[in-house]
Amino acid sequence: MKRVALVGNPNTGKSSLFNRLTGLSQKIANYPGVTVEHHVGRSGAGGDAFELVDLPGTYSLVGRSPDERVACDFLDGRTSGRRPDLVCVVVDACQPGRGLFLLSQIVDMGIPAVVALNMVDEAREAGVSPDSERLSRAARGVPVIPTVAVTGEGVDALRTAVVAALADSKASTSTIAAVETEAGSTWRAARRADPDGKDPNESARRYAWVRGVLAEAGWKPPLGVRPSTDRLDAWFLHPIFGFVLFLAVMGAIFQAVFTLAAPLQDAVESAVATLGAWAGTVVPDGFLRDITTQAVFPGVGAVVVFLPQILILFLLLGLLEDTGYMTRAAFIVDRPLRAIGLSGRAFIPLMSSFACAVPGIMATRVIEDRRERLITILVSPLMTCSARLPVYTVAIGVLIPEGATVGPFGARGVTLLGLYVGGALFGSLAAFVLGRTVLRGRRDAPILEMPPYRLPEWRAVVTRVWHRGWSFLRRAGTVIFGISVLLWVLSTYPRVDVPDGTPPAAAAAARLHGSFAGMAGRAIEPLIDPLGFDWRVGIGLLASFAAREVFVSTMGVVYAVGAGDAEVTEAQLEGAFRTAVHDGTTVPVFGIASLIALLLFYMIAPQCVSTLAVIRREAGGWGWAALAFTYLTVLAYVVAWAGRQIVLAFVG
Amino acid sequence: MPPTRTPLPEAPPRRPLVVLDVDRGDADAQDSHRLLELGVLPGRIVTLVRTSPFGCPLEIEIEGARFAIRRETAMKITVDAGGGA
Repeated sequence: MKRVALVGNPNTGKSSLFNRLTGLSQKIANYPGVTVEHHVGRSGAGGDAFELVDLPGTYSLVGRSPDERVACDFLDGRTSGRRPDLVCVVVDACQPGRGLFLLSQIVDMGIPAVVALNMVDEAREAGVSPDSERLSRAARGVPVIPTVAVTGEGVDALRTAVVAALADSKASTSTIAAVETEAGSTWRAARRADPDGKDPNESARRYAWVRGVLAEAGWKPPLGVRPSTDRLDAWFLHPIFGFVLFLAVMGAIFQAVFTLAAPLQDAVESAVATLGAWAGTVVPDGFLRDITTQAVFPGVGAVVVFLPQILILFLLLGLLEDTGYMTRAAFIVDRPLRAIGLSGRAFIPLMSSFACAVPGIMATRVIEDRRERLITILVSPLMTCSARLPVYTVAIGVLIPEGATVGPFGARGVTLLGLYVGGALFGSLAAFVLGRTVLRGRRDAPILEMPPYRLPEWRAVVTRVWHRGWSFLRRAGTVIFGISVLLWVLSTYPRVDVPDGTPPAAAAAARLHGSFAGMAGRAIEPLIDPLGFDWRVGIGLLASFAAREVFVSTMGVVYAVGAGDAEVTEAQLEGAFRTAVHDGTTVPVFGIASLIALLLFYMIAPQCVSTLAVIRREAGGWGWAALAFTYLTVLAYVVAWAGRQIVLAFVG
Repeated sequence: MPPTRTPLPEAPPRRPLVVLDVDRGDADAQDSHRLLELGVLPGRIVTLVRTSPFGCPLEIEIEGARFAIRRETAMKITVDAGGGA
């Protein structure tokens, strides 16, 4: 099948166009030997069908940022050993200059091109839309199709033009020869002579060509941007109100995540409980019923409850990004981030890491500077991701009585906020230290486009939230399901014989103590005893190195096995935490000091296999993943230990 | 009238200014190369839109698009501050 690459500047609506062209056929592809993911889809029908690859947004094909190198490598055939048969260049109709600059490079590479002149509706409204036919003639016959990706206008015409251009290879080669002489040398020759793109004359030559094309098409550059963007920026980037609004927006997001999610969480929780009770009656008595009621429902159920919070957080962050506010936030925080050796560019990845470090770390590809990118990757796991919420919620529920207040605020909420702030503070500290030790050296100054404000496109937002939610549920259904069942087996076998007449609770405890999980927990007990944890918590800690939220499901299984019954709800789990005592004593496991140690440990520890895997991939080597794992684990242990000592000194 | 050569951060804001020069003295600095790729070239028009609440970065406008750049990057852009005044 013919292969077409979709290329364009950032913020030109390229991904919307990709979605329109491919519909539901898209998937993520990993080319052999290349670790970067590509979005690939099929467009067209029958013999006309072609494969469409969405490349990251780029201004130039020199490869100054990791994202640009991905685009460059793909176009030059280094990714899959094959160049695309055609490139569809997405050009912003409101400001076509930079898109045509990119076109000149693609044409120089010797690849036929079709231009999608996107967002023509906005350009027409502002009275600045170039005439597509004149533009096509001026650009030596490269087909130019006006499109509006958001509404789908022109998408069929674009597909037809792509199919026609793929069939007509001779026409496109003659086009290239014409432009080659205009823009000087070919792209490969230019890169051989000047691999890093340091020759200022190349940009000047290309822009001279672009200017010529635009002049021939009768297009005049407009002065100023849309007045609505100016009016909004007068507030959002105001010297004083801008910062106040920034704090308000961030505060509102986190507030909304908890208040909006609460009723939904209650609904999910009762649904899981009802389903669990029903499953208990239909599954035949014996091994299967034990697994269902003691492993699957307590384990998976405890995690699924957090789906509403995760969806709401991704929805709100997606909205902020799509409206263009995230870039404004980056503009405001560039200066403060600079104090810890980062820049405004690190803001979006770090903010995304509050939802999940995996997309956060992938978002660091926009950072051109390698050292800054590595620092951002290494501190992303310190941002409080949604997987920590289950652990925090249960531990805070035990630590702080319901209804307790700090001034006018609920004490539980304040503690949770403290953990978010604490993670960010340790992240700042880590960034500062890394920037002066392992990753010291000069930084490139960032340049960040400030796109006009736009209304979010609901289709795209909903699709993205759906994908996130689905991948969370899939993980609950596979990894967490598997770990829950495995853990149940490990904490049930080998069977320990208990004398008849032993009270049920003591018998259950003896069984867990003698099981494989019990052995593992006891093996690390000396190591975690300084933090105030017993071997049961040890089982949870070991299991949660797969994923943090597993801690809650593990404790659910550990205590459900202990009680010999299903414990699904948060309230019941909190109850089990309150009554847990160190073996042979009446000393509670979860006293104030060890609960604080637990919270501090989870605030920092890198307990997530997916994050470590994505660090290895994005940073380029296991060494960086090992560094992240080691420094975060050691820091988590030391901070948790210190926190416990301080509480013990005050509370006794 | 001869041009009044001024570094962009010191030029009057919200006024179209003609770019006279982009300093590439430091060949390892990526920012000046990027400026050229974005169209900040001698003879083109650039506008200083605003300064961040913390004094840096600056927002500039080139050909209908706006970019945030740091003060030291903006210092590399020399404009004619007198022409339009």
